Amino acid sequence: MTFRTRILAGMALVSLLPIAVLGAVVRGEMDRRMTERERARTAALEALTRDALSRESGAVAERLRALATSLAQDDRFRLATLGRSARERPYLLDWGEHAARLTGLTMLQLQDEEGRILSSGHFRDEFDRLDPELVALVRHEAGSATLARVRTPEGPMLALARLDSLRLGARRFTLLGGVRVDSAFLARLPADSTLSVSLALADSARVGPATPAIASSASELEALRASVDRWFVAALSITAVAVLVVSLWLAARVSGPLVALAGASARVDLDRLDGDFAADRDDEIGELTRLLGRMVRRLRASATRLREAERRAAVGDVARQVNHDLRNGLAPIRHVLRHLREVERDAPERLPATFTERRPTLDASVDYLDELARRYASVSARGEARPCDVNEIVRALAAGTNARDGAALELYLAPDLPRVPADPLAVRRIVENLVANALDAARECDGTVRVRSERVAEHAIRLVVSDEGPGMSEEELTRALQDFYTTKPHGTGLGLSIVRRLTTDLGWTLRIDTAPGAGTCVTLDSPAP
Amino acid sequence: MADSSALDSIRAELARDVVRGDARPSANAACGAIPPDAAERAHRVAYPAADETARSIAARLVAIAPPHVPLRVAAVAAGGDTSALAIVARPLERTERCAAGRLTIPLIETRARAIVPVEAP
Repeated sequence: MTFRTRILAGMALVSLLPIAVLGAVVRGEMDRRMTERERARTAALEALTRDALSRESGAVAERLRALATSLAQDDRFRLATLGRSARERPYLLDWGEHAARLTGLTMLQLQDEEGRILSSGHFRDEFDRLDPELVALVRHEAGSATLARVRTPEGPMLALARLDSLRLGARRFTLLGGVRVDSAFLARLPADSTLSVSLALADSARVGPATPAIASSASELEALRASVDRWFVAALSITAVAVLVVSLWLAARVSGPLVALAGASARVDLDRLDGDFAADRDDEIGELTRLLGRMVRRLRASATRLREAERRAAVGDVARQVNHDLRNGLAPIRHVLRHLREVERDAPERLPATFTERRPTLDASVDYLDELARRYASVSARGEARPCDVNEIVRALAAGTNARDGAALELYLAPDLPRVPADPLAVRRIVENLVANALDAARECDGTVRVRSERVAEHAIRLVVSDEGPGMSEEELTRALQDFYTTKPHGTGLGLSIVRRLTTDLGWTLRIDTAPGAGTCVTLDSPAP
Repeated sequence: MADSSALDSIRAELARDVVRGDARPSANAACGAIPPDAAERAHRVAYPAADETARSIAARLVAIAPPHVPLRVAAVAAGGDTSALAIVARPLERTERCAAGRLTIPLIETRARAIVPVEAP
């Protein structure tokens, strides 16, 4: 997991988790309180409804009591029931309807002791039907508001029912009466804006207690929940965006320099200890950068000492190589001289002709030795360090350098440039190689080579050689810093590698800024004493 | 209602207890046949919405129906009857003309009354 990802994950965890917990707690608390309030209102409404049902049931009982009293004094009813007068039968059949209309009951039934319906107010034509079960069931629920499902011509009807009875002689009659439980009845019950009351009876039951069922529309609670959820999601989204932006800024602020530092560190090895680890930050990253810079400088000093040791160790090998090369170069000469001595001794008259014949061999051997000497001169040993005027070296070099075809050389030398302790020959070879490379590169683009010197401290200088040539890729630069790599038809491939070695030997730093199409800029910094 | 004595009893009861008017049991014979899809129709006894006599007869039939036959009455507009049973008023001279595919059972007959001026002797 990258540092940037960790920052993002950490910020998200620290910021979003508390908001999520807060949202969940607020929602849960709101839910709990609303539910408690809803429960209290439901209980209150249920109590009010039970009181109302009790009052309605009491009113029905009072009306039945009045009917029973009236019937006990009704002679036509007595004749129709006790005397079994056929003439009064229509009166008996119609009594229920008239009595229900008179008392405002929507359900009224008169039964005899067998349970036979003698008269019915809500269903006139159900007379003579036996239905003792209904009365028995309602009687079983006596003392409380009772719901009964009774027949009507149009179908079942739910009614709040009560019972009463009267005795005529030896006969006992039962009055079953009630009011229809419909929307008009429910509208008379106590109401609440968000609660609804209903009375229901199980499908299979004919009679049951009138228990109010309170249902909440839940719309208010749901609307509040939806509102809280919307604001919660909005807050969470805004926080998430803010966290993302801050995290990316922090990551860029923290991990960006780390990535650059890692890149600079990756380019450091024993052959390239010229990395730039300068930092103007005063935080931990700046301290780390400066620490790495000090470490690289120590490595550079160690590498110099190591290379010196290697060079001393390699002197023997070089001597053997030189011996071998010289022997190879001298052998043909020795052979030619021996041949000439033999001709002089045996046939002196042929000496001029023989010399002319063998002369190319002598010339080739001398050329070989000359080339060999030139090659070995390029890897000569380091000289003594003494105060060195770099401007003077640059001017002398520029005076002896002819501008190549299509390339110009411009000097920008600081007049107050201090002398620095260095081997003048090494400095000359560095400048010579850099200017030669720059002129070669600038010639390809008809560009200009600029050499700039400046004072960076009391005894420290900076020398910059830049060209407007084709530049190099990272891979080309890496290979150019190695020995014997060149893209020039007659190049030795030693220019930049010699520059790198010589600057390291001098303890200077070398920085090369180049890119394809952007030219090349080489910066040399002498160390501050 | 296939039993003629039971039908006579019902006719008599309807004329006596249900119909609040001057009525007598009908002596006309039934005609027609039970429609083949009668059992599939709703268990309702239809009557013309404005005919109180027909409603009372329909309600009585519902009341005396066996408990496993959940009949109920339903007022219908003229000509809108699709029920298994329908109580309709028919002039006497039309009771003998049965509707095709339906069983028609005459239940009661009412005697028309007339108030006429008595001519002077």
